[in-house]
Amino acid sequence: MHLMRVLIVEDEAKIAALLLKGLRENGLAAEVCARGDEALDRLRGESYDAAVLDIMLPRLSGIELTRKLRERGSTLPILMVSALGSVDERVAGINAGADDYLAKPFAVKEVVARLKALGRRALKMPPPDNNGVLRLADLTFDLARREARRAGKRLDLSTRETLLIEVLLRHAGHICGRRLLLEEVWEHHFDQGSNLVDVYIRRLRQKLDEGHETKLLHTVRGAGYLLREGAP
Amino acid sequence: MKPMTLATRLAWSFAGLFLIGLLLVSAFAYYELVIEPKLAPDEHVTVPHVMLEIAGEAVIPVALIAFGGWWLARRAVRPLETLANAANRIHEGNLRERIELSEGDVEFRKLAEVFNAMTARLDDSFQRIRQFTLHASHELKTPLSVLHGEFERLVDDSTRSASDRAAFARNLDEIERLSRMVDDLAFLTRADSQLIPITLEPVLLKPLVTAAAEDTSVLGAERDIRVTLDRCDDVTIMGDRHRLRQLLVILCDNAIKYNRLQGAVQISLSADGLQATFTITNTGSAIPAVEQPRVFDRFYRGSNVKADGIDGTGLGLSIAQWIATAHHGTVTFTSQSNHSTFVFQAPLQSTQDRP
Repeated sequence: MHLMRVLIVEDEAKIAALLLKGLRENGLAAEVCARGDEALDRLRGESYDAAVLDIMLPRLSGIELTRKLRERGSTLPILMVSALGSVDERVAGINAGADDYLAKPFAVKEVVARLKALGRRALKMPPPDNNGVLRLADLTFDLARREARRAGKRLDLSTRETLLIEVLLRHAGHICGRRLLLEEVWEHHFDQGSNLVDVYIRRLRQKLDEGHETKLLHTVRGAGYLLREGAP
Repeated sequence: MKPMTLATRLAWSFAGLFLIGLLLVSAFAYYELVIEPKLAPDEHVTVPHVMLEIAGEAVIPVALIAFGGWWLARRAVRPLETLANAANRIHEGNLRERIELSEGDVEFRKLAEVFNAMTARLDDSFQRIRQFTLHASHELKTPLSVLHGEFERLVDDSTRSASDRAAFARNLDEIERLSRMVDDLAFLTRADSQLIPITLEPVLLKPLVTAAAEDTSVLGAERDIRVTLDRCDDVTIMGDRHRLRQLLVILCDNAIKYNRLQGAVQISLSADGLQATFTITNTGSAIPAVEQPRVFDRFYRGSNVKADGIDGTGLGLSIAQWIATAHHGTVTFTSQSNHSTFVFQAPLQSTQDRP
């Protein structure tokens, strides 16, 4: 199987080492580059499946780097990471052409999960559906009707829970970190520190898994949650 | 002309006034003692009589001198008023304020210069502190990321005992709490330096409040707290959707966090007059009266709260207040024996603002 090849552009050596180790352990082929201008050359010259860019880089900032790549028509999936973690910086990153943004300090698993999600998006993998239905084992989600069923039985979900199960299903098999869920389900671009996500997951788990032999919704400590058949 | 000192100017002015007064008194005296006796020589006119008359006529020059003195003094201290107003504006938080004294005396100009130099230095110091905090929070992110990464691995390490892994997971929680604190601190520091952009656009508050109330009710259910949305009007204000959501989440989270088991939370959104008013009341022990003025202070956490071991950074309300101010609004509260109410008010979008 083709290993996803990722270029980590980060001038902070410790973070770079941490990401390198984490990505490799999670089955990605990763390389590190500490300078923006050097990264531009490497990304243009070689074929990568994704890049993790720090915003504050010597010579060429992550945002300028992204803009230059996009100007040249590159569609490389880019995950931007930054220490500032403000909505405006996120907007600046996305406007420049980055595909996703994560504030430091991040969970390495969340970086991996988002990179994999970006990889899937890049491969134009359609959501696992035939007629607008997301599927995992005996769980189905009808995108048009916004209706989830387990073993054919309709789950009684609130609007929020419906959105939560949709996001988890779209990332099925991959970890969704607290932050990703807060951003995608709640549009909270800040972490208030309440146990909102955990509480919603617990409620969803009751409705989804209770009385079923196979559990679908799993917790990965220190990283997030994921939907998959069988233990992670 | 070289500007005179205040002392010189006052001395000259008073000398002038006295001279006028003296001339007037002399004129009256001359009239009384020399001219009048010639016109109607009267044997019965005694010296005390004449003196009394002169004294009576001297009232005019004396009043003139008094009035002139008052007027001069008032003019002389007018720059002080300008200075006091400027000091007041600086007191209200604008360290960029500088005093311009176009006219005036050497002493006041000097005072204004010293004053300006002082505020410039203060401004500079504050800027440095903000820069420092910003850098510090930025620098803290790296070790926090590394720590987070290391503990993630330890939590996953299947060769470790279950109790060890549970302890590592608890450490991860603490690292996350620390990260949030650093984030909040960075947010406030950037807000102080006007680095947080607020994009004002018409925002319908109802859906934001409904969503926040729903989440609050879900969080409340965990502790048997009943959450009710009493009233939710269609209210539009000019605001920044993300920030307003953050403000609501802060107030709603607090209402659950500082509540008691089986307590209650009441939320309402209404328009009264020209203001949009969001009110949230929660049961639970009151904020001690002596601590009430410090509620919006950074890192303030109630003494009763700390004892109860409730998690928090102590920065939420400071952020909420900043967001409210950025919307030309306010966050206020009242706290009585068994409940507290927080109110967020902001001006309604006026009809002429409507696109």
